[in-house]
Amino acid sequence: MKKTLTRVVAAAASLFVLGGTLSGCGGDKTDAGTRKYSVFIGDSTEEPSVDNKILARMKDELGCEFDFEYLAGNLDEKLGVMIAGGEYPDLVMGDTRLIQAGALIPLDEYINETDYPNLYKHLEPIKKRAAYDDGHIYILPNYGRYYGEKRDGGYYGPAFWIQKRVLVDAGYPEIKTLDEYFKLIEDYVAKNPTTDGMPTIGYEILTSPGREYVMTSPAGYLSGSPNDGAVIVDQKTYKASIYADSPNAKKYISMVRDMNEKGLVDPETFTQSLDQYLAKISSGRVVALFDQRWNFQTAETTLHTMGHDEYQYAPVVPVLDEGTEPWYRDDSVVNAQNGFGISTSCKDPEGLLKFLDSIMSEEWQKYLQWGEEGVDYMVDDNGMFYRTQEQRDEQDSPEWKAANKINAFYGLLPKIEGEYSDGNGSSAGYQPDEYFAGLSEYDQKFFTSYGKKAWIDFLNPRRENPPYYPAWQIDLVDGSDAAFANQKLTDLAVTYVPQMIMSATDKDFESLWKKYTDEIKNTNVKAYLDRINEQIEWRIENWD
Amino acid sequence: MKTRVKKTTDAARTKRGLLKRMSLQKQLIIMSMPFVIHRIIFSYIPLKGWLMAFQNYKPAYGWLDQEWVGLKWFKQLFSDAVFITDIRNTLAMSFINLTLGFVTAIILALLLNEIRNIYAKRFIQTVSYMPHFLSWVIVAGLVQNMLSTDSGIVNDILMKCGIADRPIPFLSDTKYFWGIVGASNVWKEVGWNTIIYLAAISSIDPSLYEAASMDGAGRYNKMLHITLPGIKTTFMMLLIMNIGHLLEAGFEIQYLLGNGLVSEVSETIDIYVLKYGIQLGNYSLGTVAGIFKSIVSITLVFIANRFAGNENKLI
Repeated sequence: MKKTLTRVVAAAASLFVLGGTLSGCGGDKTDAGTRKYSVFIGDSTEEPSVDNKILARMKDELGCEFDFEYLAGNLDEKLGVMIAGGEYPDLVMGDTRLIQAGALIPLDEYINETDYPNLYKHLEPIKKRAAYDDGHIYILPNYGRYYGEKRDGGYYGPAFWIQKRVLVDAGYPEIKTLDEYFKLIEDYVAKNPTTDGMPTIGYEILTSPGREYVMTSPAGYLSGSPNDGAVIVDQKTYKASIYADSPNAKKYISMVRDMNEKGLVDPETFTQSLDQYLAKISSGRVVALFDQRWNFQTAETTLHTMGHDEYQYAPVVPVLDEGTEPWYRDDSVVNAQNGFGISTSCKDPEGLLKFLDSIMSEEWQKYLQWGEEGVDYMVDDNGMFYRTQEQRDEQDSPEWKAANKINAFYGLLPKIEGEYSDGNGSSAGYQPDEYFAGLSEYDQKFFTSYGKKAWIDFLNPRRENPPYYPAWQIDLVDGSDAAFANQKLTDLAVTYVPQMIMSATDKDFESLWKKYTDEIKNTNVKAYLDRINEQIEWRIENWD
Repeated sequence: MKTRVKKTTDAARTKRGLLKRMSLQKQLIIMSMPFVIHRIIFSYIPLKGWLMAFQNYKPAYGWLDQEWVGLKWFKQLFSDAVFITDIRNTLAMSFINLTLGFVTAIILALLLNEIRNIYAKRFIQTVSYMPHFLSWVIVAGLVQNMLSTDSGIVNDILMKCGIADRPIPFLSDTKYFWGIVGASNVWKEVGWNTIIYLAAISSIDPSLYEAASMDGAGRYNKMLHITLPGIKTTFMMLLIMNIGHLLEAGFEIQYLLGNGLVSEVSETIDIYVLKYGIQLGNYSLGTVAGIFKSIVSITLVFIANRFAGNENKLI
C-alpha cells in the first residue's frame, strides 16, 4: 500500500515538473541569462538542427534563444485554432486573420529612429504599403524592400514550367502560345514514353487545399493579366472582374481536356496531396506544369542533388492569343501582411524588436545571407564576394544547411535585398557573376545556348506595376460575405474544373460548363468584387 | 431501482424523505460527484459558446461586445445547398458504417465463437483488432496506395486477372467513395467491435447449449436460437448509443481521401464546420452547424430509446 502511494506521488510530481517546463516561455529569462521566445513558422521545410551555427551565435551575441513550432498540415486551420484558443507564440508568422483577431501588436507605435534605427530605416520607404487597413503596421514584410540596385537572377513566381531536357531536345525553341507549349509536351512524351523506367507524365495540375491557384489561376496569365489573384483588373479603368467563367478560362480548360484525352495529364492529378505532387516532380517524370516556383522548389532541389539537372524546369510565359503581351513577371512588390508579427501574448516585445533591429544590420545580414567570411564565401581584390566551388556545393547539401543556415526562420524575417552599401549583392542570387558561376554546368550550357544570363531573362521583360498592384494581397476580412463568396468560387472550381477536364464527351463538357457558370452566377460574386474594387480605389488614392 | 418512496400529501415529509434517501446513498453520491463536475465544466459551461450563433462573432472583442444578428447564420446555413448535401452525405455514410459495422462484427463474433482451438481463435482475434490502433492518417495512406491508378495493388490485380482493361480511378469517381469509406471502416474496426459481443456470448449460460444439443439442435440452430438472442440486449444498447452518433460519420477519412472530384459525396458536416468555421474564420456559422448536429443527435437518441422496448431502455 505504502509503496503504491509513493509511486503515485512520484508520478504526480513528475507530471507537475513536466507541465512547468512546457509552459515556460514568453520572453522569460532562462538560466543562462538569455531571453527565450516562442516562434511559429507556417512552413515545415528546412528546419535547423539543434547545434545550428547561426542560432548559437544569436544566443551568444544577442542573448536570444528560440523555441520553434513548424506547421504540420493546413495553415488556415492552424491559425483558426490559435485564434479560437486566444494564445499565441511570441513571434508569429503574420496573417490578416491574426490582425483582425487583435492578436498582433501595432509595431509602428514601437519603432522609432533612436531605439531601432535599422528597422526604422527599413520600414520608412514602405510604411504605407506595409500598413494594414487601419493604418498600423502589424507585420514586417519579409520580402520586397530593396536597397540599391536590384540585380536578381532567380525567378520564384508564376509561369508554365517545362523540363529543360524537353527544350534541349527540341533545339531551344521560343514558346509564345499555349498551343506551342502543349504541342511540345505531346511530341516529347510520344518520343520518350518512359523516364527512368517509369511512365513519363505530360502535365500535372495540383488542387490540394490551399494551393487551388495552381488549377484556377492560369487563365488570368494566359489573358495577359499580372498576378492579381482571382480577378483581372482592367488597366485603364482599374475595375476588377472575375475570370473563372470567362471564355479564356473555358478555352484553357478545354485545351487541358484535349491533353487529358491524349493521355498526357496524370490520371491521379486531382486526387493527390501536395506531398505526392512534390514526390512525383522529384521523380523527374513530370514533363510540364503550371505553378509558382516557390511552391515546388524543394522538389527541384531534390532533382539537383540527385544529379538530374535536365529534369529541372525552365519557365515559359505563353498566352492564348498571339497578340497578347505576357505579364507573368512583375516588378518587385512589397510582400505586405507576410512575415513576422509580434503577438499580444509576448511579454517582452521591446526585446524582440531589439533582436530584429540587430539582425537588420549589414553585418548580420551578410552573415545570414552569405555566411562567414573565409569559411562560407571569399572576398576578391575588389572587395567583391564570391564562393569557391566547394562552398557552392555546400549550399546545396541539406545536412549542411540544417547545421549552418536557418532558412525556414530567415524566410519570414525582414531582410536586405538588392545590394549592401559596399556594392555587394545582398546574397549570391543578387551578385550576377556569382549567380552565373553558381549555376550547374548543365545550366550554364543551357543558358549559353539560349543566349541568356539568368532565369528572369526567360520571362517577359520587367513591366512597371500598376498603382494598386497586386490585387491578390487584398484582405477579404474573415467571416465577411466577400470571404464566403471567395471560398464558394474556389469550391466550385475544385468541384467542376476537374470534372470538365476528365469529361468523356463534348456534350458532357458543355453541360458541366453550363452548370459551373450557372452556379457562379448564383454566388454572391458582387460582394467579392465590391471589396476588391473598394480596396483598389483606396490604394490608388493613398499609395504614392 | 424499482423501490419508490411511498407518496404522501405532506410536503415536509417528502422533503425529509428525500434527504433521508440522499443520506442513505451518500457514498454513491460522493462517488458520482467528480463525474458530474467534469460534465458541468466540459459539457455544460462551454454551451455559452452557442451565443456565437446569434452574433457576428469576431475574436478580437469580448463575449458580449459582439454585434447581434439574430437568425442570420441559421438562414444562411440552411439555404446553402452544400450544407444540405453534406447532411445527406453524413447520414448516408453513417448508415453504411452502422449497418456494415454491426453486421460484420456480429458475424465475426459468431464465427470466432465457434472456433474450438483457443490459439487459433486468439490469433485471429488479435490480427483482426490490430488495425483499430492505427490512426486514420495511416489507414488513408494505405487505402490511397492500394487504390492508386499508378501501380496500386488493387488495380494491378484487376488488370492481371483481366477484370479491368485499364486502371479504375477509384478515388476520383463519386460512385465508389461511400463504398471505400465503408470498407475501410470495417477493416479498421471489425475486430475491435467483436470484443464486446464475444464478452456477451461468453456470459450465456452453457446449460442452454447443452439442453439444445439434447433436443438435437445443430451448430446453426444453436447460433440462431441461443447465441443471437443471448446478445440481443448488448446489440440494442450499442445500437441506441450509436444512433446518437449518426451525424458523426467520421471526419478523418473523408477529409483525407476527399478531393475536388468527389467532394459532392465526400464532404460531411464536420468538414463543413472545419472549412467555414475554422479555416474561413466564420466561427458563428460553424457554431450553427454544431448546434444543429447536437440537437439532431439528442433527438435521435430519444427516438431510438422510445422504440427500443421497455427491457432495452437506456434512459
